[in-house]
Amino acid sequence: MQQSRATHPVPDVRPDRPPALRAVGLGRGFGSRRVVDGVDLDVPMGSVLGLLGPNGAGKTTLLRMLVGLLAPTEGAVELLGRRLPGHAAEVLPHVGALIEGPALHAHRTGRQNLLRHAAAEPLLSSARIPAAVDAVLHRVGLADVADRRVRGYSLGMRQRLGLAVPLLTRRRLVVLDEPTNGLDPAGTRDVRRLVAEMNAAGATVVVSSHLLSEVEATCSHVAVLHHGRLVAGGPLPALLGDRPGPLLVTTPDGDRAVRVLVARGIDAEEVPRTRVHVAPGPAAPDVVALLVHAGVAVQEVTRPAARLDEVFARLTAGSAPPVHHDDRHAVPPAWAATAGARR
Amino acid sequence: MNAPVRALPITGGPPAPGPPRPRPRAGTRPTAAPPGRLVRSELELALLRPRTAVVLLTAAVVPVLATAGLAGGPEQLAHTLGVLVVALSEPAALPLGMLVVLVAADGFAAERHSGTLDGLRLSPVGPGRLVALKASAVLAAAVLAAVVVVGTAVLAGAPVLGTGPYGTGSTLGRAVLLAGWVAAQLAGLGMLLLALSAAVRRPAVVVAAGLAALTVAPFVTVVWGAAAPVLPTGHWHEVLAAVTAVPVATTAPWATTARAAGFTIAGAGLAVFALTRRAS
Repeated sequence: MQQSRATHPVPDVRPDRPPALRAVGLGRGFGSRRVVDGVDLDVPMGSVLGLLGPNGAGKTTLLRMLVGLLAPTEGAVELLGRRLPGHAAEVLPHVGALIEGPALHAHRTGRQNLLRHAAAEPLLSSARIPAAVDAVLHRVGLADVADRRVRGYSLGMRQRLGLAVPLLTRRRLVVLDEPTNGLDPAGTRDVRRLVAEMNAAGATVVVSSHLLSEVEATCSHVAVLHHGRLVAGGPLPALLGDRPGPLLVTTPDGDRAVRVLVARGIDAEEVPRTRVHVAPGPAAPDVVALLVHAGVAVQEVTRPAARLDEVFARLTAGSAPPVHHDDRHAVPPAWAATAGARR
Repeated sequence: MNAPVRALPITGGPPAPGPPRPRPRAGTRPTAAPPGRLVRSELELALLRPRTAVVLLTAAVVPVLATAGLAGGPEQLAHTLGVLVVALSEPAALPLGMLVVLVAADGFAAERHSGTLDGLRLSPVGPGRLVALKASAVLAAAVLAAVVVVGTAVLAGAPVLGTGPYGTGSTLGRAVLLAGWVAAQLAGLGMLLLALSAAVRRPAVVVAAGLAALTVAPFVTVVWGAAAPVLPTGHWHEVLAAVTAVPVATTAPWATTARAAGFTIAGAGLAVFALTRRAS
């Protein structure tokens, strides 16, 4: 039986339309240090892109450049088909962002903070502002504490309030930098729901995270940033299914099975609970035939689905990996191989 | 053996040449929030907070104390205009200018420090509109401080000390003149501090500069008179003397008001320049 893979939303990706976000040769240095280097990125309209990378990979710097908060030293950015910074005034009202955590005035209430953001929204008429603020406060679960000063909010409540800002109007592109930071499991589920809702309403969503399980559960596309460079990207299923995974053979005679396979040049090792781990390569029927022919009883053969953390580990070998919420399965050492860098 | 992960379509290279792409309809929608709404929101943020009341009350204490001190004091100053002269003299400038200093520090440096400035920039509010927005708060703080201090001086001084040789009409006229002049001076100082606020990340830097301008600068002008024309608080005593003269002397008030206007314009320009540079 195959391990279950998280169910991915099926977004209304529109390849016939210009990408919601395009970066061409995007780079940024601070002094002599290159933080982002030559990033080419097309984010299809209607997709949910997960931006992954170890700490210090340049994710936040890249996101800041993508929404025009930081000027690149090289390259160019197009949002919704329009070049930045020249067309910022036209496109930014359609873009919602939460970057580097929620930015709030601690001495004001949650409602006052949202009213302040709403006042600056070109697409919100003054008459609609109070209702829009009430609606998003309900949507992020802060209606009961809306009139308390933000100074008294927990980290999770602040994060929810920060997430409310992109929800004030209907956006065509939403960029979220680590949106589940500080949230409890219920809050994390809520963020997942909000991302799905925004996407279902037609928004393209770019979300950076160090939680691979979140990206796997939420995103239709993935881009991996490492040392400021984009090392891989694409539709998540394609990225995960890029190569066959290992086989797990359940047998009461593991020691003998390993000897048979190794004698045929197949990389195999016995793992606990009467199982044999066969490195990626041979087809399952060939392995079964080989073992049965040698008189080894085979109870079950499975090929677990590839997981994002395994792909990520290969791509960013040598860096501290992001956290996987459900990290019960260690990455097989044989898979922690050289990254197939794109550039 | 592992195959390297392939580059997938999402990470395209430079845009491929092709037919013109359909443009989204972004340009057909409003691109900026109504200015009046933004200014109202900015004034609420900057001034509708307990801190404003505390600072203004502190500033208002000065003319009250001056009234008490002048009661039974030298006859030349024992009237409402004398209270104003004492309350607006350079040593009393610190509580008078504190609100402007704090609003300027909050304007950009504190908002940048807390990240809230990015929210405005993403809305989007461009550098010019941002400076205009913040300048509105600085100007409002300057007017508020001037009105509170001058108003308190009149309200406290008139019943206790009377209007002296000037009479009620002349005293009120001169008080209004002084209120306008003080507001202009505070606005000039505030805009210079706002420019500094646009250039730094720590609001404490702006507050320190404001305190230096209000407390150290007057002593600098005593030691080195040549510096007075370029310091925001230089020549204040000459203006106070001019306003109490009969008839009112206009040279010093006009010169210092022109200087304040120059500071205001220069501060606005420098703030736009600093914001534009910081974004690059």
